Amino acid sequence: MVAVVIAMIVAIGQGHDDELRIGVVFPLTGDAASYGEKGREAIDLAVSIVNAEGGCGGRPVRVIYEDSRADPKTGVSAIRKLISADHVPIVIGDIVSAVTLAAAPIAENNRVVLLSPTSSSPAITNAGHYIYRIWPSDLAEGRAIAKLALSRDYRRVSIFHMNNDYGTSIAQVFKKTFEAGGGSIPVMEAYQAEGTDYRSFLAKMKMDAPDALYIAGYFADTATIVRQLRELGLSTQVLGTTAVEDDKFLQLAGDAAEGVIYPLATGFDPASSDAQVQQFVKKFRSRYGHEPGWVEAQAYDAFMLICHVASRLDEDVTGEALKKALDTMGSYKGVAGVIEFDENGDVVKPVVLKTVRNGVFSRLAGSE
Amino acid sequence: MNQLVANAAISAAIILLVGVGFALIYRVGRFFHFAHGAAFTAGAYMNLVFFRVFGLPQPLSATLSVLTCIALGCTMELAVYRPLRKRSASGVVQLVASLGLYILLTSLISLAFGDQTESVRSATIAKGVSVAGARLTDIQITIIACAAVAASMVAWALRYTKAGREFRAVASDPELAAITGVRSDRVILGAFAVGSGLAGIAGILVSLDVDMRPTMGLLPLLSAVVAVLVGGVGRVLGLVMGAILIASAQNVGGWYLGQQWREPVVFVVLLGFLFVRPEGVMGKKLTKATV
Repeated sequence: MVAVVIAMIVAIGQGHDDELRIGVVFPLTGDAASYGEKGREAIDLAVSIVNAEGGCGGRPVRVIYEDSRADPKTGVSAIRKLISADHVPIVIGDIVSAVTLAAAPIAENNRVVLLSPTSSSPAITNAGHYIYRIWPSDLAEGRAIAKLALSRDYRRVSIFHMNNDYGTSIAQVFKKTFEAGGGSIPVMEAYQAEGTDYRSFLAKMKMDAPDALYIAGYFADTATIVRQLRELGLSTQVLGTTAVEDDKFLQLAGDAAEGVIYPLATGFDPASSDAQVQQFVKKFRSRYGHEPGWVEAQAYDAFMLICHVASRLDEDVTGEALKKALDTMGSYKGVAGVIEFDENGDVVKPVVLKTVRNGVFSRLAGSE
Repeated sequence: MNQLVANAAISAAIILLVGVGFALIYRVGRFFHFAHGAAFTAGAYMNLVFFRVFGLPQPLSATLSVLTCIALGCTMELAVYRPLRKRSASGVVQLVASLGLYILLTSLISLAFGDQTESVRSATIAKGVSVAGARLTDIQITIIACAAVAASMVAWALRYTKAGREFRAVASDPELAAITGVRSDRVILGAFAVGSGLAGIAGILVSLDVDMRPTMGLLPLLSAVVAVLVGGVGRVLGLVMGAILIASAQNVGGWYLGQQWREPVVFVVLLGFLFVRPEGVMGKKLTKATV
């Protein structure tokens, strides 16, 4: 008898009434509150648009906000509350990687989808099967630049990476991708952040003469390395990281910056002529009186993506059903670019390849 | 392979420029003057101020920077070490004081200029000239030339000038030197002036080669200390050999083991020497009879 009652309560809680409940965990107070507020504005706008049109596939939407204060502990109690009290099948959050990572095991164990609009930490890739994000992992750039090297028919590329989390992990991804595509890595070495003399390594470039050199670090060390490489009289093609796009890089590297190729994940461009983007910007401006930025665009996309997959479900919207729908949805075009998930729930966003041409960061000719 | 030799020559020259000053101060002051590394860094940053902020031409800017380094070295001696010596502070106390000075000065530099990399170089990349298959830039050739000239001049001055004789007298026995009328305080001050000037020159040259950061002085200083210990403190020639040995170890180690092993290798060499030849390459083994 008790079991039946509980089952009924749970059934009601899970929303057999046609309402779609979406939990949102954002930092609404504290240091990162401005990000959380931006995200909330965008989601509120999205809810009003969707509900005015009859909801997601006929289901009206209700959003329940919880504050994480950008603090993992608070974020954990927030998602617990959303799952156990509000019975949401999906939680959008968090803005910051640390909270997303802390909340991930709870979402995973309860089979609730957790979709982060902006978390970039590589650790999120393996945070769980129910964890998705629409911001590329830091590792995506390593993969993108390796693919460029393969497409240019480079056979041998040496790697020089900074000896920290960032440098080491994207160097590994580059190596894996490049070798899987048939390339080889003659030399792969790490350097310490505080060093300035990279000639021991660069002298090897002279002997090995690889097709290109991938420098996985930040802009200041990349600048010094490129400069020393050119001073040695080597014209080896240099591949860099997203961190290269900094005016200080141009100043430190001087002429040596010329021709360095690096990847940049595409994102929100309010000036884009795309109709979908223009409509979003117009609606946002008329409702709030100011321009939306990248946080707003990402949060908007996160909500609209969930609505998109939920509207295609015939069955009840559960975490399992949503997960299946996300895994099989193919691609979805949002205001911050096309979204596609890989097998880890990481977004596969088109990456543009850029280069330094005449002292200016420019699109690389021939890249999409 | 020739590039490896050229790279080692550049490293050796920097170590030598820093090491000569360090050894001069060590011989008469009888303590490890770690703040020597701060004089090196100060040279680079003073050049940044004179060249970029005041817009002076590079030669004038560099000269003024070296003079500032000399003043800085003398100030450290007069304001810190000499008072300590008058109170008969031991070498260990002075060493701790010098570490304090090093940290103070580099912190001041990082407060004033920030921790990021700064550059005084022009945007144009000068491809190095080819010397027997190795590429060396003008500034790298200047570094090697400066080190050679500085080391020979110091060696010559120590041997043939009055100041050099006084220096050697204080180095071998300060009390005996004092009895014969040599004022050891003046000799020590002179060592600080020459040593800090050389460190300043090295700092400026290195920053013209690979830019500057507030922490840039530490690695050259430690390498120089090891070169001094390995080469023996007594002679300039020993120091030259020490510098060449350390620079070769760094570059050959970096070549075979990887870039990140450049610095650790130096200390492996030091440990090896302390076990096998604690008196240095040029040191004479003292036999019981001579003691």
